[in-house]
Amino acid sequence: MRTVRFWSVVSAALVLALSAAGCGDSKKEAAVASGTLVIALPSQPENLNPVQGDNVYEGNYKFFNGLLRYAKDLSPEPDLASELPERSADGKTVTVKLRDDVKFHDGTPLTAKDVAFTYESIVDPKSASPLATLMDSVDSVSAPSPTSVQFKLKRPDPAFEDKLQIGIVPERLLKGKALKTASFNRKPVGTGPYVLKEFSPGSRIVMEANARYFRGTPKIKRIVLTAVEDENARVAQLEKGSIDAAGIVPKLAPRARRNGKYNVMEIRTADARVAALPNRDPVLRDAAVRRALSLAVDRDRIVTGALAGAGEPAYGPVMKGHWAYSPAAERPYDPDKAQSQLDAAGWKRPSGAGTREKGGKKLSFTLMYPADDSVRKDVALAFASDMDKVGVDVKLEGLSFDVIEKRQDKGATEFGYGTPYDPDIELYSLFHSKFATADDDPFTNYPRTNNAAIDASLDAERSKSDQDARKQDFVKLQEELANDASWLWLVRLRHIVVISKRVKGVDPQVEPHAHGFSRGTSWNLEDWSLDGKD
Amino acid sequence: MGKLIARRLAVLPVILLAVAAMTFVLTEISPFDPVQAYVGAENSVSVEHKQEIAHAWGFDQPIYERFGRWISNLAQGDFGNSIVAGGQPVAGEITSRLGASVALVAGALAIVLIGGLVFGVLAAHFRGTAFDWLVRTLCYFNTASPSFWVGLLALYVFSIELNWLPAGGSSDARAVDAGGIDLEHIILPMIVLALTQYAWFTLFVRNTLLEVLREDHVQFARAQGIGEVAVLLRYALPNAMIPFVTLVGTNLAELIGGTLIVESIFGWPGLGKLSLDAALGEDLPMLVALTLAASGLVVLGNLLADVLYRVMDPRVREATR
Repeated sequence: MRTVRFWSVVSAALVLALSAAGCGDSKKEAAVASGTLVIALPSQPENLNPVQGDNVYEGNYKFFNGLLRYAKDLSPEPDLASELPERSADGKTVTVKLRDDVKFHDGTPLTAKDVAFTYESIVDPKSASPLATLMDSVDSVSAPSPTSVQFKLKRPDPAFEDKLQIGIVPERLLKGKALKTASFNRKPVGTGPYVLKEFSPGSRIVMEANARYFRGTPKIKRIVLTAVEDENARVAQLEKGSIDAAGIVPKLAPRARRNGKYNVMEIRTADARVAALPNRDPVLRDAAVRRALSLAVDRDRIVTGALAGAGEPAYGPVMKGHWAYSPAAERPYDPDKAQSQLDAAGWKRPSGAGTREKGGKKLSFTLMYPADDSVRKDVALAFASDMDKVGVDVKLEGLSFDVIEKRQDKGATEFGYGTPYDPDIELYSLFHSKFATADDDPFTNYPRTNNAAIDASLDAERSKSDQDARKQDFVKLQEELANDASWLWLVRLRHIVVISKRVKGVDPQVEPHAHGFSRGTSWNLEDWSLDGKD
Repeated sequence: MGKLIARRLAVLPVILLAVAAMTFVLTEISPFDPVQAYVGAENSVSVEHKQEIAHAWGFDQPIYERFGRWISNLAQGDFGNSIVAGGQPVAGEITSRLGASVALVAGALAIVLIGGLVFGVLAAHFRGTAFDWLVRTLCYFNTASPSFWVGLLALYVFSIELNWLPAGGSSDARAVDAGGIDLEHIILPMIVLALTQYAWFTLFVRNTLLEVLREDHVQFARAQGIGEVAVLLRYALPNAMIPFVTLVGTNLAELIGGTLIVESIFGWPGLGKLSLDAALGEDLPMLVALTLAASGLVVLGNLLADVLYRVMDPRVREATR
């Protein structure tokens, strides 16, 4: 009797467990949609509402349009606007005329009220939008007519056109709602070329071509965004054919090329790796030391080694070829000069070799980097070996940003920054001494650069609108940054993007550091096609 | 028995409340900053706007106020809104991901139970032979290998190098229907999760069986001329299994804990991955809800084990009647 009871309990448990495990198996033979493009992102976006976006480069995901967008050459061109914006003589009033043929995915027409609502929502503290800082030049926004929007600015913000690219959300669906918790954040309704079909948390996002898109229905009917965190797994999935496109790390590019079914593209970017050398670190506080360290970095070797050739040397915050770039601020590799400058600064090598010392203290510091980023780790390793050659001891520590920010003034950190758009968007808060003071603010002016000449050139470029005049300020800024050297630029990456050869029409833009789906390679996604089919 | 169940269920809310309070305190003393997690690294947000964000989400309120508000919302059935889920309600996000985790844990439990029973019994039957030695050695090896390592190794060997099984996700991204779980996709994560518990369970079955085989009633059965296999399965095993039922409760808790690592490695869209995201994102409402769900499951699992224990063991049944 007891035996029977025992076995019935065990088998009941097993049947229960097996049936639960097998509940999804019936879908094994599920239909696979044809004409689908599967794109793997490193992680699934949490929030698709552009008002809640992390930065100006993200958040559209092809569900939305901004007033302007960047053309292939990154010049601003009208998107929802019917023409480029007009500025008043003092630069503080910006008027944008809207197209009158645009409809949201739910069929309602886009009006100027939606635009005003979008920008008001970003600056409304209740929305908790990370974009609020970016919009700090906005005083008010109004909709004088259904096709006209007027922005009043607090200062003649020369980078304001770049801020007109944020996706416009429909007022009708969001007015009076708490934006930070709105269901809209995962059920976006925009004007964009694609319509959300499915949001499966942790799994995939499915979008379908918008049949009433004002520029015509996109050619690829269905796009799936899936998240594959592991860099090796992304390549494996490409090989297996379960995904069609992904960004990969440079060292895996040869493996992807061998496969033959993919175009492996090296996309030029403004995405720099830069070591921030804190002004409060006991060793790095001396600008003479920091300048010498910059001379000791063999940037070409980092490109060929750590980046497997997919990159270029970086000497400052503006990328080569940008209108604001200054070649004069380049500091070419010169280890001998670095050695003599370190000697002159009082850091001597005790016996001609080994780590330099001054007053019994060693010339040694930590370089921190986010541990999950293998490219940053390889760059950090190459940097440390260059430093070792001139008698500077660099200890590497892979950490999380949570820990790195707690150690802001102790040792250097390798960051990723860079924008190919208007430099003001990023550079002002990175270098201005206004942002050097607070302790709970690590990602604005991390090394606490406090340099009157840098402040002056930043304030000057901001106060003008003429590009040539601003260029002179940026040239000055790059020179002062090279002299201050609390930011030590190392390399600019090329992003490796692998896309199936079935996909036609890919025509990448230069990419920023952080980019979402409306920038870089996928900026013209709506013009792509599969196997050349329309 | 009814009294036992009633007593345990009555204590459950108290336990859950204590767990919730503990989670609040732990996140409060953790050094991580929820605002920084919210705006992201390498992102310029001014100090003033960070304060506004903290205020909008209520991060700036003292812990007792937040806990009080959480309790009163909970009384109305509201678990709050999750930051890592784009501000969506916590309960909805958990429900939508529950299925994936249940399938994974149930499958792993089935592997542990079946595999452990089969190999434990075989090892006991062939005790002292090369087979027994092999089973034991593999089990010791398995016990010594941390699951994140086994997971990465399995992913690397079977998905990336051999390309036999999909490298992550729960279904084919091209599938028309949402939310499916493919057998092909669940195999690796399920086996890796099972391996976190498999070894000790196999060894447990083997060792308990060997002890029971030495007992008088088993010797008596043998003396009656009953075959060795029948003795093993009909007389020894049921007795050896009685303590095992209690262990299934513990086993279940360990498997649920294991999903944190396994789901993250295999990109499995379940609650383990969500827990990790919530922890890294300092997402308190989501963390508390998940901790409560896990605690509730463990308490109920133990209760179920105790009930089964009474069903299966007449001595305990008599004693608690």
